[in-house]
Amino acid sequence: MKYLKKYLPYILVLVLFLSVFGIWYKIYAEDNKNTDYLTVAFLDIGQGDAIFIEAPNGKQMLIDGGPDWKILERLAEVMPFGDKSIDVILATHADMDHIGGLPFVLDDYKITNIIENGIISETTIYKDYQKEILKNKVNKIIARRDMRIILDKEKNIYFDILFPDKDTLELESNDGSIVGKLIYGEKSFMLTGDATIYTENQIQWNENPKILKSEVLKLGHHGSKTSSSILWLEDVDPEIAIISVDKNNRYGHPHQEVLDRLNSLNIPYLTTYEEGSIIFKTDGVELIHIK
Amino acid sequence: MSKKEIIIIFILIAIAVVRFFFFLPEPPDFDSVLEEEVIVVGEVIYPPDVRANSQRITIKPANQETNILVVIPRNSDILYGDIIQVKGILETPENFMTSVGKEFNYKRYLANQDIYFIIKNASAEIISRGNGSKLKAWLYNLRNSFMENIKEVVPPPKSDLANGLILGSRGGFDKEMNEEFISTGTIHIIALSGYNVTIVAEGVMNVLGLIFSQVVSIIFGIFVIFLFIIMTGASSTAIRAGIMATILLFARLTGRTYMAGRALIIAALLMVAYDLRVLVDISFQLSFIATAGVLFLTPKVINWVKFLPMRFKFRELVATTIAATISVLPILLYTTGILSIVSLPTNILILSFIPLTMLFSFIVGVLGFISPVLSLPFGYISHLLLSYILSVIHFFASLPFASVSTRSFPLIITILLYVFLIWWVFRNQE
Repeated sequence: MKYLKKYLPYILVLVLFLSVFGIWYKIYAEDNKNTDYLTVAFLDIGQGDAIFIEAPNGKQMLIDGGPDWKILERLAEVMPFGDKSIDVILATHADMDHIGGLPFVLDDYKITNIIENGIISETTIYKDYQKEILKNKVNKIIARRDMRIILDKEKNIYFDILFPDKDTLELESNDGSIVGKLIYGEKSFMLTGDATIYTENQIQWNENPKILKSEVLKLGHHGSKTSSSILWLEDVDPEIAIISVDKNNRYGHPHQEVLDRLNSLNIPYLTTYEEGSIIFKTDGVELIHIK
Repeated sequence: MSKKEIIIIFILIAIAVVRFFFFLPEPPDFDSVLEEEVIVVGEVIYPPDVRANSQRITIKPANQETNILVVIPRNSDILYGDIIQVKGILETPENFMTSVGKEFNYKRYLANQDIYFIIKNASAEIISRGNGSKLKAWLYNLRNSFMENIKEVVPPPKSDLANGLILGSRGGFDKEMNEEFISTGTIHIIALSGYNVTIVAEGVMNVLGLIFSQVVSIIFGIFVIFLFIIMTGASSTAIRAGIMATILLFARLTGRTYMAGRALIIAALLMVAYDLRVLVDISFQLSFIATAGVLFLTPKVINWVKFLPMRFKFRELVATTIAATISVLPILLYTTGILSIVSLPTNILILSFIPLTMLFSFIVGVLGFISPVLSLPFGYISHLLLSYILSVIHFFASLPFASVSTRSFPLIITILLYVFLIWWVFRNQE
């Protein structure tokens, strides 16, 4: 008892000191972003998609969550230590390799908004994921063309939804994938989920080719030949294409036809199975490939 | 040995045999429904073992003495003490090949836990909650919240390592990570060992020693050991360590001399008397042999490493590591067929940091009950230490010669090696 009395003031001071440190650390980790750079990371989560976006003001967005819990490891690598919240999740469509990891993310992180294409699936993973959304009281939004997600008002960074342009209930799962374009100044990223040539045609029908032009294109459906038509690649006309894919996957992605199409148009490409997570930064003028 | 000791040993062996033949539950006769879809209602008797993509639940059906293992999808909220209704195909477990092509006796492994049937790809529905022991439910719940607190501030897979170090929890690691642990001979750090039990008991007694008398803190220490063993799933390793630690504390309480070798044999005899099948339980074998190795080989090995500095107990650490490695090597070769070449350097590099890592991770887990803001600074330190451990393991595992494997290592050589070791240890003693 006498030891306790003797040391109690010191212990209290230590606890207070550490709390102050902790609070400031958290503030620092989440708000101190005095940088002009937008980060876009195509995460290496195996066969699937997961793209993490962080605006200069600290707003964060996750597009798809990969097939399983591996997403948690990858997120921890690109997010600040102790940051356990993401402002918006966008699930392009309800396939396992895109939403499989989302229940884990919803469980582990504080998520404010979730954007979906509105197609309901009968799979167990979809039900799990919907259960987690309800449990965590996440605000759900159904994506439609002409919606704009403003990530950084001051720097004018936003994500425009190009597809779906209508009710998607009658569409095939991949056809109904959300397609959107992330724009910051002169640089933009075309992010396509598992969009097929059908989806690409719809978008090309709706939009002026000028709107489609992007510096970075994530190829639809992990480089499958049912996506990325020559016409689409010509209109988007990217400086670099990204293929989010696992080594030796059972679908044979990326298909040789697609690589041939890229080569014929002289579009270089990177794959997540060769590079690991692929990270870009841009200040709206210059595009930097970090890793 | 005195006459009294021989009589006690004889009685314990007799109890073991009688229990083995007359008191262990027989496998039930489910042949008529084997390979068919069944609906079973049973009580969940351990907390679910959550893996990367599934979870394994042991249920005890009503009116049955043995258990059934049920594998269901990962995302479900089944808890210890639930009564659940399970639907799926009833099968008998089958032995399987490990990654190096050695047969793993899965049948026997499960039979030791009174499991003779398994339902894979099952679906489960909760019928009622809170049926098990209140104490166990509380302990499992505490364990779970503690692990969640760590996960709250430390990202995976570091958080999984922290929980493995402190609580021996194995969930969370993927296959590659597990193989890295095995090929570097470091899997023991995430298994619950005697070390965890001792450290918990010592910690509790040190804290209580500040306030209470020695007698009170020792009694409380024994009590905490008991709770900790239940909380971590009562593995044979933990029970072995628990019995030894209890004997040690009794020795302190009564002022007698503690002889670790004797305590080890008493622990082994008691466990065998209770259930003879522990003799073929690999974790019991490993734990028993490694402890014996540390106790009896270290004094010999320490002579080889006299050139090492004594500071920070470094020489002792290296000597115990070598002793433990030598002693478990034959049985590891026999059971797993994997010989880790890098085991010694990896272990020496990480073992010196493990107490500190456990301490900081433990603080994170405890402070998390108050607020993550409070645990965050400690989380940062433990994160650094955990990253260090994982990157050492990752580095050594990635070396091309990290481990070699053999498909057949004969039992007779294993036994001869142990006979030699025992002879070598005791040859100069009277």
